[in-house]
Parts: sequence; structure tokens; C-alpha cells
Amino acid sequence: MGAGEVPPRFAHLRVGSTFSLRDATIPPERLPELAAAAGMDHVALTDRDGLAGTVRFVRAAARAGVAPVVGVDLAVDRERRTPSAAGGDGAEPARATLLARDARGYAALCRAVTRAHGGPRGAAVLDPDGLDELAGAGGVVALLGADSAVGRLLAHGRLDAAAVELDHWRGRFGGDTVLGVRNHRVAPGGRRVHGRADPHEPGDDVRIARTLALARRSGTTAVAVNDVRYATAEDVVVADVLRCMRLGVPLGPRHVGRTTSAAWFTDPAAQARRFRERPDLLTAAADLAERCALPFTLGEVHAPRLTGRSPSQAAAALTARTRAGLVRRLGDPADPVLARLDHELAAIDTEGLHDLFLAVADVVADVRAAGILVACRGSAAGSLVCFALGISDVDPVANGLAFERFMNPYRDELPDIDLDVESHRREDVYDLVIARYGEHRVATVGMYETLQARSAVRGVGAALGLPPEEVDHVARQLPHLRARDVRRALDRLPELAGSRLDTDRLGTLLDLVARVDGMPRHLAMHPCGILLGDDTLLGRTPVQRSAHGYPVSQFDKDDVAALGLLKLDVLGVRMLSAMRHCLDLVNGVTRQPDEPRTPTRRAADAAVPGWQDGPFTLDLVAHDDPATYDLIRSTHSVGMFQIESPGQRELLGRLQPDRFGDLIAEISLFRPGPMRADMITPYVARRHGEDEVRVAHPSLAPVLAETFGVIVYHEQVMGVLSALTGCDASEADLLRRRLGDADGQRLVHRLVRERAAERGLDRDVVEEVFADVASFAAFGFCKAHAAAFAVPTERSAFLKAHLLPEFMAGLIAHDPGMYPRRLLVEECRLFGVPVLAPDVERSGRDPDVTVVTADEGDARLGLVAARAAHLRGEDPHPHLPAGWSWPDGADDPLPPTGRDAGRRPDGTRWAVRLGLGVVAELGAQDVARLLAERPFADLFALRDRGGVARDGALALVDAGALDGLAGVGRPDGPPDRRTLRLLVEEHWSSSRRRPTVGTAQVALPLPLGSSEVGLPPQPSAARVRAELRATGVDLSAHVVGFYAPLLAALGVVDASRLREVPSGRRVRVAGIRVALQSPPQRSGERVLFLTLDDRTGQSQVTFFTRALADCAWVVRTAELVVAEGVVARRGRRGATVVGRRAWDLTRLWRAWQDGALPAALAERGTPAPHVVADRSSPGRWRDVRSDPTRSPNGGPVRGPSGGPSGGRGR
Amino acid sequence: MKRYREVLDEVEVDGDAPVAFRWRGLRHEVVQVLGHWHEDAGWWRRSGGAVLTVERSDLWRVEVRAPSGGGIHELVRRGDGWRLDRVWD
Repeated sequence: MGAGEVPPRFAHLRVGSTFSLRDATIPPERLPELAAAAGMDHVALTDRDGLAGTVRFVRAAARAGVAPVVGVDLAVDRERRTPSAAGGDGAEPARATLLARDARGYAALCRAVTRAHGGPRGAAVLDPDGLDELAGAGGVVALLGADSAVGRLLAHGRLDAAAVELDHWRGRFGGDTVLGVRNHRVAPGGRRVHGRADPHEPGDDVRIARTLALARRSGTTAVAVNDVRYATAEDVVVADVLRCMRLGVPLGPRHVGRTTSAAWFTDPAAQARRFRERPDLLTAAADLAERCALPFTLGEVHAPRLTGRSPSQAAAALTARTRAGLVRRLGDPADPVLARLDHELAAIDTEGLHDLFLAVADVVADVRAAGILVACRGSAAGSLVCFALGISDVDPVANGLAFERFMNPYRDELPDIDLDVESHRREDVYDLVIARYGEHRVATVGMYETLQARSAVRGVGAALGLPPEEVDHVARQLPHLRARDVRRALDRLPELAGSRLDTDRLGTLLDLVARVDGMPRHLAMHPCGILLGDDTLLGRTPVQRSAHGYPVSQFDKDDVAALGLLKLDVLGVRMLSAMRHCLDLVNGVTRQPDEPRTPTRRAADAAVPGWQDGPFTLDLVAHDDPATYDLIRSTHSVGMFQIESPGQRELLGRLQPDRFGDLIAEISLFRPGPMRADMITPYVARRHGEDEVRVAHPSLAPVLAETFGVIVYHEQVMGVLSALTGCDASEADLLRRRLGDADGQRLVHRLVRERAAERGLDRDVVEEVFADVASFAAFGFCKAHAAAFAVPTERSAFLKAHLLPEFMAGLIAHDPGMYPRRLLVEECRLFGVPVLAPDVERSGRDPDVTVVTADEGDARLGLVAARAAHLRGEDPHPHLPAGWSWPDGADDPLPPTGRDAGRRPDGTRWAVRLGLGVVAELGAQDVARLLAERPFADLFALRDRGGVARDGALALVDAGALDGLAGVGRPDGPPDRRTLRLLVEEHWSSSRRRPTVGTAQVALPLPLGSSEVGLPPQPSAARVRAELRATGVDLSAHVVGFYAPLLAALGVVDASRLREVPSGRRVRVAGIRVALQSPPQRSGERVLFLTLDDRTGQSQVTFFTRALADCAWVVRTAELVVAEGVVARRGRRGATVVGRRAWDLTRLWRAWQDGALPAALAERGTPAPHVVADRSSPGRWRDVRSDPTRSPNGGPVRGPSGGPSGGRGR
Repeated sequence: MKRYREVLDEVEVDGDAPVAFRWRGLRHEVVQVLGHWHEDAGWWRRSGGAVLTVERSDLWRVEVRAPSGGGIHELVRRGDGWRLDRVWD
């Protein structure tokens, strides 16, 4: 073919993409562009083992104007258990490319891929029955290339066997059997110039000749292919690396599986040069592609028939169940409610989505029946149908929530229903859903883990054969970042210069790392999405199995949405786990053998509103309980869902909620948009009647009255638009969505102006209102979302108000919030509930609740001396712990919060006992073994049967878990934990020899069940430090307490007394840093909000920009902080300190001990690493950070070494 | 078959393909190209340079006519350099 000739038509039929998972380098969405650029109007995607790239590919094809051909490259075991017989080389099983010719064929491919992955774990292989099923389904073309059984037999010169093999395929696929030939210009013998020749390699010319001869003899179509793995020949290096990473082998001639780099995305001209004599093979490929062009439709909604009912049956069932549900919820529903129900049912009818609602209602009911808390989140809370069916717990009519925000007939998408469940039982929920609908109708949504900087460095380094320790060094130096940024990071990371890899090797490594960046590595399970389908589901998505055995779609969440599959999001929420834990403790329910036994089940308690008899459930929590809102208004909201952060607590102080609707507003307002726009100030002022409520036009009053004229919710934006234009709610929602960009705003503005004029509204009013709407549209929050959130918010607040010990135990068990565990423990004390150390004989895995005598309660809370003084008739105040008070004439003192949630009517006290799980050194199995083996008669029994190693036993000592068993502080036991530690060290190191009686005093058997340990000894700093190390909790005394003399000398004010200090007064506060936030400000100024905990409560310190130079370093780095500033008040309860100065408390302590306090107080900004105040003894001063467990003079200790913010996130 | 690995200085090409070459002082004319193959060197072994390139060799098996008679020769091109590798008389 000369230069001027037009190359024949051609289309690539065998192309791998990055979704071949570590084999090929072209992203599926780039493939159509490449095809279009090469002048092809068809192109196929045929990934190894899957169809995962299909949706991206098909969408990109539509954009590029190229017709997509969808297929898969699968290993096929045609003869059962003889995977490599045909090839004889024993390497990888023979493969075949299977192309979908039509929709039927695509469904068959999905099932075949699922089946291929269903075998024993490991490589996907399609078995003979699967192949028969696939062929029987029809609509599939089998394209057999060089790596097929036929191709291998031909290469080995076994021409007759190849013909027989081909007959088998033709017997199944008939005329849809096609032979593919490629010309990668492989020489006879393969390697001739470099490396050793392979005598079995006949070379591509011979392969092609033999294949074409067979095709001719058998009457089989032959097409030219190129087995494409990379876009250009230069990219072959990346394909080599990926392949070697996949196989876990170093790069080498034998491992890359190629001798030439010809498998690039050849254009028709290049391809024609390779088949100079047979241009018809190219045309045949183009023809086949045309025959397989898949009419693949995306974006169509597929409403599955989940329950198996006919549409009319489903409609009837839904109507009946919603009506019955409404009666159950509301008694006798009013007419507007019934009208709303009919309206919603009609919309559901139009969309044919009855089954969706029935199915979700069934799932929710199953989850509830399994004792798992479930809550509906998102806009579904706006549906009365959801409320009636028990899916959501918010009455949308009473709360003014719009159905159209959830389901809009004008929008072509399935409504999203998201469920929150207890986080630690999410897999149980999956099991329930699968049990109800069957594995053929349920799959979890897929998610691809990608090659990121660190993993890519390790993988590429191994492939390059670099020394593992050097590679590891490089990988560890890298922060978690995108691989493509690694190069730049290298320039900033001088540590890498210390690597022993030379610059060239390092450069090669990082170059390759950048080129594999972001490529999918393997399929994982999406953390929350579940696909619900009918019997057609497995014809729509291929499914693999997760490591835990759950079916996982090969499609990710975007793909699934594009395919119109129905997705139910099940999110794990720790707060629900915490609330469940609380309920179980209250009701004495034990769910797992290693969960706490239940010594303290509460009887139905008349003090808890709504609890008459039987077990306590969340359904008993009524809206607007006064005690609950009283607690919320006090801003002691630590642990309450959604309203516990320092910023939210400040807002609570200003907003002073007294009903459910206020919580909805609070949640909606506390977001970046409204914060930045400062919608809060006018809202709060109007809420408290300090500002006039203004509504631009009377017609808007019904819409805006609930928020005093301020637009807070999407629903209000919709309401205003509909009031101005007279449109219905569905259209109003569409208009609202258009307000997001400038073009849309102009369009909506014009429409509003015209329609409002027609309706005779005053033009100026319309303009003013529209300006408001347009500016708030971006900030407004979906009220249904906020209302859905507000349900667990109100319930968690109720639990804290009425069942505090159990609720706090639940929080400590599941860590749902933003605060570290030690602050939760502190919160118990602030409410008069002592927290007991874990006890190897009594604790479960998780915290539980117990009752202690009045004396022990006093001892644990440090009230003994004050009580004695009170009984003597003296003033108890000097003896009370910080923050406590003793009201005149009262029998008991009041905790710092002013609320005693620990005292029981008979004078005993509720206490929280920590679980053994709090001991960091012990794994889940260690704890399970301890619980199974106890009781232990003594330390030796613990050593012999407990299965705890020495370090674990020492951690148990430090946590206080052996105090009871060993009798610490009792006459017959060791005097303190330090002595016990020595004993444990001794026993555990001599575990073979059982010491004779008498060598150790604790060898004496101790009576079990003696809870009277006596008064806890005065906690030493060392003991608290050990507790912090073992459990992260300063259990026997608050860390700040050790600094009391210095704090007194500095004139520091207790957090609990801050609100008594007049505004404008200069004060000092101190404490452990528990939170540090930098929320967006309207002014754009950078502001730090610091929260300090000082054992009397928490204080807020705000640092504005001008103070940051002096303070930011200390505030960010110190765990114990002293801050100085001016008291400012916002709202009714809140008193914050506007910070001017900040010091590290431990540093001040050292200076104080050394008589250098004034110099230390004069320090600003970032101090020198060595305190130089005392020049006479420079050697004594060391950077406090150099040894986090050291304490000067046995005095103070530092906060938990991980920092008080070390608690787990949600 | 004889193996040589001798460098060829004068090779005339048409596009990629060799048309004639001088070997041991004699001009050889290509009558027919019998085979054209590729082969890559292992890129991962080479040190020196962060820029990753694949060094490709082209193998040409050609039938030649020469004053000495002719036969089938195999030429290898690497970059711009040509080499005679094998000869079948």
C-alpha cells in the first residue's frame, strides 16, 4: 500500500483498559477519543475478567460519536479441569473474547462474568457449563485470538487438534465464532537479538498463516485485531510494570509476556501495513464491530419489581399499608393529611415505584425486628408515605416538609432512600436484605481502590527489583497524596535525598509511579450502597464476591446511577450503636456473650417521661420534652448527635431551642453557607423578639413565618417561588435547582417577573423577594434532611437528660462524636456519675452501668472531705472538688453542671464501669478469652488461664483492671499498682514455676465479689500517667488537678465559673485541649476556636487573626494550655474568652518550679526548644516535647500522649 | 546458516525497508522482503536517565542479489545503526 492510498475500514475488537486491573493502561473513557482520532467509527472494550469500564466507555463513546462494542476477555476452561492442556505451556489458562451482539448478549455476558468469578477464590475462569449457558443465551460473538486454545494449538503446530477445538466452539457459537489474527511482528523464536530464543515461538507470520488456513478450511470468519493494551508504543513500559505488579514478579524478559511493543492503539494505516496482503481482514473487523454495535441505553430509570407483586397488586398493598400506618401514627388523620397521602400515592403510581416503598418498608421492619436501630436520612423524610410505612420518623405535614424535594416527576431519576443503621451491625443489615430478596436480586455497590502514591511506590519498586527496605523508606516518606504529585513532593522532601537509591533509579521509580497514578487496583465493596433489583439484576451488572463473601457489583456508584439501578444506601452511624448500647443497658438485654452482663437493669422509671412499663424504647421519646430542652439550652450537649461541637454549643447558647423545630433550624443554620452569610444573627435576634419579623409580602407569611422571615430551607425557597409564580411544588423544585448558576438565575428571574406581573404582584416587592431567594438559594438546606437528622439529635438529648449513665456508657463504647474518650469520662463526672476502672472480674468488653454505695460514690467523686465537713455542720465548700457547689440546705452537693444524674433515690449512686476493651494493649480475642475464662481466683489463675501476655497483664494493672483481683490497697494486697506491677512482672516472667505459697502475698486466694475495695488511695501522678498510657483516660484524677497550685498562682478561672465573670474582664483559663476548629468566617478572617477542659467543664477561647502570631503555635501544639483574654458574651448562656495570649501549661510549670515564671509568661510565638530563662542551670531545662511521659519532680503529668483529640472519628 | 553480527555502514532504505547495502565491499541489492519483525531490549535493565524509552530493534529478512551470488540475509537495525546478523547461502 503506497502513501496515497486510503487505508481500509477498521475497528479494534480486542482492547483492554485500566479496568483490566493492572494489565492495560488506557482509561476506558479515553478509548472512544482514540478511536475517533484514528478515524474509526466503532471500537470495542474487552477488559480482562470484567465489564467494569462499560458505563464510562459507553458514555464517552456517545460524546465522541463512536459506536461502542462491549465485550469481555475471559479465561475459559472448555474441557473442565484442563486449563492449559491446549497450550501445553502451563502458564495461564486459554482465553476468549466474548462480544455482546445485542442486549440479550450483554445480559449473558454479565451472567458469564459473575459465574467466572464465582468459582474457588482466585482467578476468574468460565467453566464448561457456564460457556454452554452463555452460548445458549444467544447474542454473543466468540472471538478467538492468539491466546485462545485454538491459537495456542496452532502456534504449536498441532493443526488437527486446533481444528477439533475450533469445531467445539463452532458447535456452540455457530457463525458467531470468529478467529482473530494479530501481527505484533514477533520474529520466529521470539527473542533473537536480546536474550534467548524460544523454540516454541513460531513467529507472527506463521501464526497468521496457520490461522488463516484454518479459517479458510473451516469456513470461519477471520478478523484482524491488535490485542491493544496501551495507547502508544512508549506506554508499553507502564503496561509491563502493571503486569508484573499483578503477577507479583520482577520485570524480566519472561515476565512481561511480550517481545515487541506493537500492542498499541494502531490506526487503520498502521494496521494495514501489518496486513499488507490481506486488507480484507481489517474490513472484516469493521464489519463485525458494526454487527456488534450495542444499542446501550443509559440514563433510563429501571424500577425493579422487588416484591414480585403485579403493579396493581403493589399499588393496592401500598395504599392499604400507608393508610393503616397513618392511623397507627396519628390516630385519626386530618383531611389535609389524607389529601397529601393521595397526592404522594398518585405520584408513586405514575412512576410505578410502589415496589420500592414496600421493599424499603420491609427492610426497615426486618432491621427493627433484628433489634437494630434504624433511621431514615435525607429527603425521604419529606414523604408522608415513608412516615406512614415506618421508614422515617418525622411527620412531614406537621413539619412542613416537601414531598417534591424527594421525588419529583419532572426529574428522571430514582428517589434516594438512605438508611442509617448501627455502625457495628451494618453487615447484619446486608444479611437481612439478602435473606429477604435473595442473592440474585441484591448486590453491594462496587468501589475501586486505586493505585495511590504509597502503594504505587511499593508495587513499582518491587517490579523494578529495588531493595524492599529502600522502597519502603521512600514510601514512608511520602505523605498520602496522589501519585502524580510525588515528583513535586520529592523536591520538598529532603528526607528522600538520604535514600540510598541513586537519582536515576529514584527518578525511574517516581516517573512510573506518576504514570500509574489513580489506576484502579482492585474491586472493593462500597461502604454503604446496596443494589436492589429483581430477577433481571444479574443481567444488568456482573457481580463478584467480597473478601467477606458479599456480592459486589463491578459497577461503582456513578455507573449504577447511570444504569438506572435502584440503590439503597445503608450508612453505619456510631451514634445509633451508642443509643442501642444505652437501651440494652437500661433494659438489661445482652446481645453478645462478651457484652456486659446486666446487673443494673432499670425498672420502668416514672421519672422518665413516657415510660410506663415494659422495656424502654426510642418510640417512647416524645417531641419537645421540657427536661430534654432544658439540658440542650444549658449547652452541656457533649454526646448529643449533631449538636455537640464547640461551634454548635455556642449556637445552642444563642438560639436557646425549646422545641423540635428549633433543632431543625439549628442543624440547618450550622453549616458553612449560613455561617459565612451570617444568617444566624438575624435569625437569633428575631427568634428572641429583639428584632422585628419582616416578611416582604403577606402572601409569603405562611411560608416564612416558622423562621421569622429568614429563608433557611430549600422548602421555603420552593414555597416562595411558588407563591410568586403560582407554580406547583414540583416545578418550584426545578426552578430552585436552576438558581445554582448565573444563567439559571437569569432565566428564573425573568420567569418570576413575568408570572408575578400576570398575578398582579407589586414589581418592587417581587424584585426584593427574588433577590432574597436568589442569595439564599445557595445556602438553604433541605429541611427534610435537617428534620431527619434532628430525630436522633432529640432522642440522644432525651437519653442524656433522663438516662445519662447508660447513655454515656454507650458513647464511651462507640465513640460516635468528635471528642476523645477521656472527655466523655469527664462528662460523666460533671454530672455526678463516677466512672470506675475496668475490672477483669466484672467488666464486659464494653462499658456498663453499675450501682455504688453512697460512700464509694463520694470517694470516687472526691466528696468525702466535703461530706464530713457538712455533717460536722461546717462549710463544705473549701473541701469540694473544683466546680462543685453545695446549695444551702441541700443534703448533697451539686456537680459542676448543676445537674446530678448519678444520685439515686436511696442515696446510692449510678456509676459507669469501663469495659476491658478500653485497654489498648488487649485485642478483641484477648478480651473474649478473659471473659470466657473468668472468674480467676488469683493472679496465678489469670496468668495460667487468662491467655494474656506480660505486656497485656501490665496494661491491665495500669488500667486498674486488677485492683480488685489483687486487692490493691487492701490489707492483704499490694499497697499500690506500682507494687502490683512488680508482682506481675515477676509472675509472668516465671510462668513455668509456680511459686510456693508465701513468696507472694497476692498468692492468697481472694474473696470474689467484694466490691468494698475501701477508699481509693490518693491518686499519684504516676498512676494517672499509667492510666492514660493504658486506656487513654485519666481515670482516677483529672490531669489538670495536678497543676492546681500553679493555676491558683496564675489566677486561672474555672470553666464552670466563667459565666459569672462580667464581660470585658481580663481572665485566664486553662485545661486540656479537647477541640480546635477553624470554621469559615464571613470576613474571610482566619479564626481559631479552642476548647479547653479543666475538670469543671469546658471553656471556649477564640483567637482572632491579630492574636495568632503570638498564640497559634502553642494552641496547635500544646496539649495543656493556659489562655489569657477578655470575656465576651454572645447570647444568653455563652461566655467565651477572646484570646490574646496562650502558654503551654507544662512549660509554665517547669518555669514555676524553677522560679522563672515571669520569663516564661513573657514568651510569645514559637518558643526556642530550650527554655533559656534560667541561665544559671541551663542543663536542667529540656524541651517538654522531648519526653512526653516525663514529669518534673514527680508532680504534674501531661495530657494523653496521643493528644486529647486522639479519639476515633465517626 | 552463518552468523556474522557485522556492522553495515552503507544501507539504502525506502521508508523503513532496506533496498540495498554494502557488505565486505560488495553491493547487495534487496530483491524481496521475506520478513519484518520487531524486538525490544529490556528497558528495565538500563540505568542512566529517568526518561523511559523502549529501544526497539527491527529485523529484516531479505532475499538479496550480489556480485558474489546472493541468498537470504538477515539485517538488524537498532536506532540508526545497521548490522548483518545471519546469512543463508
